[in-house]
Amino acid sequence: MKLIELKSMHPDNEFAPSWNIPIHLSTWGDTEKINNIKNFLIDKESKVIQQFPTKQGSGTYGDGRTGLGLDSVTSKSGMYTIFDFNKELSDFNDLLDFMRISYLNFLSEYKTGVRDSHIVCWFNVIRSEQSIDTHFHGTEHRCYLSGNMHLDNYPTTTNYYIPYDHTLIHKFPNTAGGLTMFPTYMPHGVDTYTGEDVRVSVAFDLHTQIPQELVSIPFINDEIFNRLTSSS
Amino acid sequence: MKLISIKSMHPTNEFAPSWNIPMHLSQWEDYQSIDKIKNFLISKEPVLIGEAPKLLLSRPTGRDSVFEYAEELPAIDTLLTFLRVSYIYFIHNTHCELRDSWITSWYNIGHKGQSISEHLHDAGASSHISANMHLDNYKTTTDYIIPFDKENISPFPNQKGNLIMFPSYLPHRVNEHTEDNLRVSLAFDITLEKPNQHTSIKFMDDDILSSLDVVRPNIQERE
Repeated sequence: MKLIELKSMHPDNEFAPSWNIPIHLSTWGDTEKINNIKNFLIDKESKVIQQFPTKQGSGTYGDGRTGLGLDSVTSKSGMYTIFDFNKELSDFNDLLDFMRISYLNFLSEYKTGVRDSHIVCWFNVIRSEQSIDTHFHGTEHRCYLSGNMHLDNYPTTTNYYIPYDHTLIHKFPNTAGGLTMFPTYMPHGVDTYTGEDVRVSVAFDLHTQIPQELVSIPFINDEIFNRLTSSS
Repeated sequence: MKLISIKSMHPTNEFAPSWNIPMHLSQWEDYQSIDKIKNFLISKEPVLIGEAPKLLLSRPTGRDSVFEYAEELPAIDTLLTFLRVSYIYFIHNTHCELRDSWITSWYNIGHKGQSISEHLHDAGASSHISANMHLDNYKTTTDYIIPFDKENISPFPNQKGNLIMFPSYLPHRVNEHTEDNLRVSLAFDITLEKPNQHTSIKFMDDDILSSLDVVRPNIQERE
């Protein structure tokens, strides 16, 4: 577990920008379950694409500004949650608890309080020569934290951009089980994927209020918090 | 003169973005001088950029800055005084300290069908204030873009003599110029240290301040 703070230099004057953006890195070490989830999601891709409708009237934003297109599984984000797949594969429950523990560690290291929250979680599948355009998940005053996890070691990096200066780029390699959590407003993208296999990642947004138009489940509340902290 | 603050809504948690970006609007009403400067700069463009009349941005590399042309056109000195006074009001209205500074200046000529892509002037720790002024009434707007939210755009009409000052990190762009005339604007970067890579002139110091007919509380404190 590692907290990284992307900091500006101290501003020389009142009109210069400054930033201090926390990013939290952790790794889920259960490679067997990661592999199970990866294979499960690869099988699920076409079913999810067929099951949910194409977003109407949302133009290129229907794919979350990723550039993956309205026929991608990414464009179905918010219409389902991967944690509903736990009925078919219980490993999703362990993934969810790993994310929760990582979140608690993030907030503890960042010295801020835990908030009741809900999670919207989806998965992305990209193939050779595809990339993910620079995008952000939200910038409104209620936006909170987002994250992603990669389900194998891939020859790509996820590139995070300082909002004030997109020439300042922080690249994090995409490794199996690597979980990155960051403020939802943080722009990020992925370089062109050159691997032979499909590249599978899980992405999520945490909301401090139930998102009305998106499918979500409770991420942290008193009951979940007590269960996680009493068992650890 | 008008101070505008582009503010985010108050964040509901410690990870949500927030911003409060000051911008300062002022109007130079010496339209005769504005016309002289516009025509003068249009006449200079072919000299500066050779035979490339469609070039959008012309940075006057032949001179130290636009203000060096004051020898040929005294109206440019009057413009510089207006800029200095506007800057003093901006600094005062944002409750900041007036400091010695330098100014880099250039001008842009846009032809029909041209636009200016989104860009920013400087987002470094030493970045300070930038500005622009349009030398006629144009149908274009300069759109200022919130760094955190590229869809959050504040358009300002490009009107004759209108000076807009803003933090140098603020991204901005200009939409397509659809008129047959040339679109002429001035642009400035004000810095607290003399820039190494760009030519500049002194913009503010004690001597300049005392020469200006401006009395504001922060200036009195400085004295």
